[in-house]
Parts: sequence; structure tokens; C-alpha cells
Amino acid sequence: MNPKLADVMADILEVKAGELSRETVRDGHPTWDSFNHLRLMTAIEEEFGVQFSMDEIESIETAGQLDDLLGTYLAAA
Amino acid sequence: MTADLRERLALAHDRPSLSAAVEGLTGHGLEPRLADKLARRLGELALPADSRVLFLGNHTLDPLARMATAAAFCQGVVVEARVGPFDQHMQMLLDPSLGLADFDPDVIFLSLELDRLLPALPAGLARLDAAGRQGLVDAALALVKGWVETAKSVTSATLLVGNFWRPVRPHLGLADLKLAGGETALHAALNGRLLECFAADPKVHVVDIDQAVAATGRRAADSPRMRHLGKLAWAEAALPEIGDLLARYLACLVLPPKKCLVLDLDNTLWGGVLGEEGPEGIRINEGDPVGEAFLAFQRAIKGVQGRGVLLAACSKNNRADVEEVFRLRPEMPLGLDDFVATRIDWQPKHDNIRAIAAELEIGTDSLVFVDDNPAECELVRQMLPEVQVIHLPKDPASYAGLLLELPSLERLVLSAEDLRKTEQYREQAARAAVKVEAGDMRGYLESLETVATIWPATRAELNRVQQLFAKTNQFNLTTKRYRLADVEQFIASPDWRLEVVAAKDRFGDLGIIAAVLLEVRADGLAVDSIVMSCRAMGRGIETAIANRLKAIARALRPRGRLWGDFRPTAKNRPAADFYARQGFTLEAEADDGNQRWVLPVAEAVDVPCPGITVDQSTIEGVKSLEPQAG
Repeated sequence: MNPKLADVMADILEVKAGELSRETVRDGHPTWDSFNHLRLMTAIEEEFGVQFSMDEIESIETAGQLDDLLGTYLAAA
Repeated sequence: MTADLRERLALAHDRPSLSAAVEGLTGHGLEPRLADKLARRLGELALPADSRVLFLGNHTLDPLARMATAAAFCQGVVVEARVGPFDQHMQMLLDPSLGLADFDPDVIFLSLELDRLLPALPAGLARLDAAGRQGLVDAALALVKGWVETAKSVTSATLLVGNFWRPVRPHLGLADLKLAGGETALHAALNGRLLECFAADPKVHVVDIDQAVAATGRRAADSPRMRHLGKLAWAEAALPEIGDLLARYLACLVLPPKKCLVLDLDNTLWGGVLGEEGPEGIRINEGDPVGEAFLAFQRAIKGVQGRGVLLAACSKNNRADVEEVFRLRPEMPLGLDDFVATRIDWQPKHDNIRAIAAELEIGTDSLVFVDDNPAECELVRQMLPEVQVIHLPKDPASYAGLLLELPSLERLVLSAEDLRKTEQYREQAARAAVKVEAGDMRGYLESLETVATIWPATRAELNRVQQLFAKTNQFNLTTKRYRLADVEQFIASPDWRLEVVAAKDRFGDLGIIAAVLLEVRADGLAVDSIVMSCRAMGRGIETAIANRLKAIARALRPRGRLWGDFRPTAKNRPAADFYARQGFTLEAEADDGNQRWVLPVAEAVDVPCPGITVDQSTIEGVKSLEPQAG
């Protein structure tokens, strides 16, 4: 996983970066609730200078999917 | 969020340590993520709640609930928040399975987004005629009023109703302002009507969300993406202002109000040191930026005085110099007679502050002290930790705003007593002068020409009665702090009789100064509470009250008994001999000092109260009560 992404996620979700992996799942996660998800996506957009579509924001279910999505944006830049 | 603060929050394990961790944080400066953390920590610690608050509305309110919980804690109130199901504000009131009664809220906040309430509104406005547009205002208003009426019928909670906030731009753009009853005008009309609707209702407060959104900046407060993705009415940036605003209401509902603002003079009321610069040299004038900043601060102080907050001066100056400056600089908004107590000498400030509290017969815990000198502030903080100390920062331009932002000087509503507060203290000073002249007590009391009027409380006196229960410490027999909902219940219930007492004398009107709460039992009457404002003490009004109690007892329970409780506190010694003086006998005294006094109604004899005329028409009113077997 992109280490900078892990840092942003750890910061917003209030967990240690080491506790996050590509397998981390949004559903049932104690702090990755719908409001923090919006916060997280906004923070990632600011950090990496990208902009996600609303569909993309809604479709993310795992840290791995988020890592892949960010990867495609960064590769295209 | 700083790691340091995060750590302190995580380490805090009780209310004092959590309070210490957030000290100095102000509501509208509270960062939303920190607020989340604080709200979560409060939840984990499960501190006993001062106020249970239910959030209802037609948009997502969870982030605001956390924000308001955190902001309220920064103001000294522990909130237990619950958020009702989305867009079910009416169902929540009417469907018992949704748990309203279980949660039993003290406060319900309702926030309705106009777009969701009347989706056809903005785009359709241009096609409507004036009557059609008026119809929209009426429809929105009817929805809110209907909710309020229903809420009042199912709960005794205080209702906070958010008003409607304007969008960044109206749908019709610039032309909207040329349209009579356009979107802009409609918002203003709707919010104006909301205020009118609930102005006289002591249990309903319209919360100016539009103002909080404007204070954030409408553009910053608006996030269409958040609205569409999360049904959030506002961007996160708006939460600190809105949360702080709600917290102010919660603090006012729970905390005893600060009563007096104690002000330093040099570099606080004016720029410069009077002893050095002289009366013409201090900076308090138009044309000088620093002088104008101090003028603005004095006007702000005057505004706070208008809320019923007393002003006192506490400074190290020569008194004659200060008297001279108020005489020579009449352009100052404040005059020396605006201060109901002054200590202008070279004594230590904490001693003078104590003396001011004693003179005004209020506790030092109801004082706010303002000074520019860090050493004086620190001294007062150490010697009188119960005094709220405001250390003024370097820039006088910030003073007025700082004062007007202080949550502890907020009032939810101004009673007639609040509006006349400073005058009343001036009259009190005039009375004290007569006392010295008159010499003997009897002559003094007679010279006051006191007239007491006693009548059964109605809803019109609701706020004042609750205020008396909340604020009275000295003449308070049982120190029960009843809430507005309780007072309402006492007025409505046949099992209770609540009476209020107003007084006036030759110096002025003291307003409503006492409340008496009686429990009507089958075998007599029990005095639950008597509270009397300290400014009415010492002239025998309590005897007039006791005579009234006896008259009521004779009318309602002629063969019954009068009981009365006394619960001693650190402050209510002035009321300790009340029952003995009125002819009651001590029936029982518990280990904690709580006393129960009794007087058979048949043996109740009126005690004379010289110098007091009791408004007889109201006493006779008792005779019209239906006598019952006693």
C-alpha cells in the first residue's frame, strides 16, 4: 500500500499505520464510518492533488480498492 | 489535531482531568476532528450527563451532535447526545417504539433543511404570484409549528428550533432581489415569522443557524458533494460555529449564570495609565485607532450590562483621579454610576473582589474578572479559583469581540428584572443610605414604604420563577434547583400551589422577588420551597409570605397542618430561623441537619410585619378558593 496513503488513513481513522493493510474493510470498521469516509476521501484528494468522482467515493469498500484507485490517478498524472 | 492534545485526551480518566485537557479551547475554535475525539472520550468515560440532548431533523446530524457535545464540554456541560432517525422528527415524537420516553431528553434540537422540506420552492418561485409565495412561507411555518406543538404535548424538554439558512446564491440570481417575495426575501420573512411565533414561549428557542453559517462563510459552509453523498446539510467547516451556538444554549440551561463583570480600569477601559498620562492623556476617543478600540470595548460592556449583568470596577488608582476622568471625559460610553460597586485603591485585588461580592450580596463564583495585567490575573486565579478570570490580550481591537463571545455572560431571555438590574442596585444603594440616616430599624423599614403583592403564579412568571430557583442561595429553605419543566408542572398540577411575590418601595420597583411552592396534601399543606432574592431580604417580606401561607392553609385545609422543610447549606443561614419566627415547632431533625417543622392550621397566627403593606386584594383572592375538608 502507498505509505503516504496509509499515513493519511491512520490519521483520519485514528489508528496506527501498522494496523492498516490492503485487506482492511470499511464495513464494520469502528472508525471508518460514512462521515469519516467522506473526510478521508477529501483528505486524500488534498494530499495527492486528485479528485475522485462521487461514484468512486461510494464504491470504495476496502483499503486495497482505495490504494488501487489512487494508483490509477497517480499513474495518469 | 496536535499529538499532544490527542494524548492528553486519551489519558484523561475523569471529569477534572478531561476539563484540564481542553482548558482554553473555545467552541467555535474547536477543530471538528478534535471535537469527535473529545465526544468519543466523553462517551467512553460515561460521565453523568448534565443534559440529555436529542437531535432531530431532515439531514445527517451525527457530526453536529459530536461537535455540540464537545463544545458544550468546553463550556462546562456534560451532554449525552442522541440522534434520531433521519427525517423522522415527527415519528420520533409520536411512535413510542423509537425510544423518546426512554431517552427522556432535557433538550430537543430540530434542524430542517428548507430544500428538503419544500423541494419545489426555489425553482418554482418565479412562476408564483404573491399569494402563492406567501402560501409557501405559511406551509413551512405550519410544519415547524406543528412539530413544536406536538413536541410540547409529549415531552417537557426545552425545544431548540434551528432557523433556515440561505444558500450561497439564490436560484434566480441577481433578479431574485427584484422579485417581491423572492428566495432571499422569503428566507428573511420565514425566519422573522419563526422568531415572532416563539418569542413569548419560554420553552422554545429559535437558534440562528443562518447566522452561524454566515459567520463560517456561506461558501465555506456549503458542500454539495457532502450533501449528495452523506445527506449532510453543511460542510465540516460550519460545524464549529453551529456547535458553539448550540453549546451556548445548553450551558445557559444548565449552569448558574455569572452575575457581575469586575473590570480593571487602566489599559482595560481606556488606553494608558491614568496616574501617568492624566485625564486628557488616556486614549478613549474617536480619531485614534487605539482610542476607538477602547470605545468599542466600553460599548460592548454597556451591551453586556443591558443583559442584566452588573458592572463593578476594581483597580489600583487614586479614587479622585478616576472620579475626575469620568467627569472630564463625558464621551466615554460608561459613567461612574454604571458601576454598582467600586474598589479603587491600592489593596490587593483578590481582597477587593471578595469585598465587591460581599457588598452586592452575591457569591464570588458568580463573578467574571477582566484585567490586562497578567500578574493580577494570576493572583486572582490562585486566590479565588471560582472567579472566571479573563486576561486581555495585547491588542485592544480584540477586546469587544472577546467580551461579546463569552458564553458565561449569555442569557436565554431577558426578564423585566434583568433589564432593570443596574437601576435596582442603585436604588439599593439609596436604601442603604437611608438606613444609615434612619438609625433605628423599625423607622428604616417604615420609611421604605414597601408594598408586597402576592399571587398564584401563571405561565407569564415561568421564566422568572425558574430563575429564582436557579439563582437564589441565601434565602432558600431547601435549595431545590427546579427546571423550567418542573415549574410548568407545579403551575398546572392541582397537587401543587406556586405563588409569586413582587415588591416595590419608595425608591423603585423590585419586581418579582420571591416564589413559594406548596404541596397540597389531603391532611394539610407542605412548604416545599421558599426562595427570595437577596435584594428583598431583611425587611420582613418573609413574614408577609408566611401570613399568606397561613391564609391559604385556613382556606384550603382549616383542620389540617402546615409542614415546612429546611435543608441547611453553606449559604442559606439567613433563612435558618424562618419557621421558628413564624410560630412553627421543630418536629424532627436528621443527622444531616435537615429539619421538618410543623404548625397546626388552627393554631396559626399571623405575625405582624411592620412597614410592609400587603396588597389586600390578592390576599382576599384566597377566600374564593373552594374549601375542602382538611
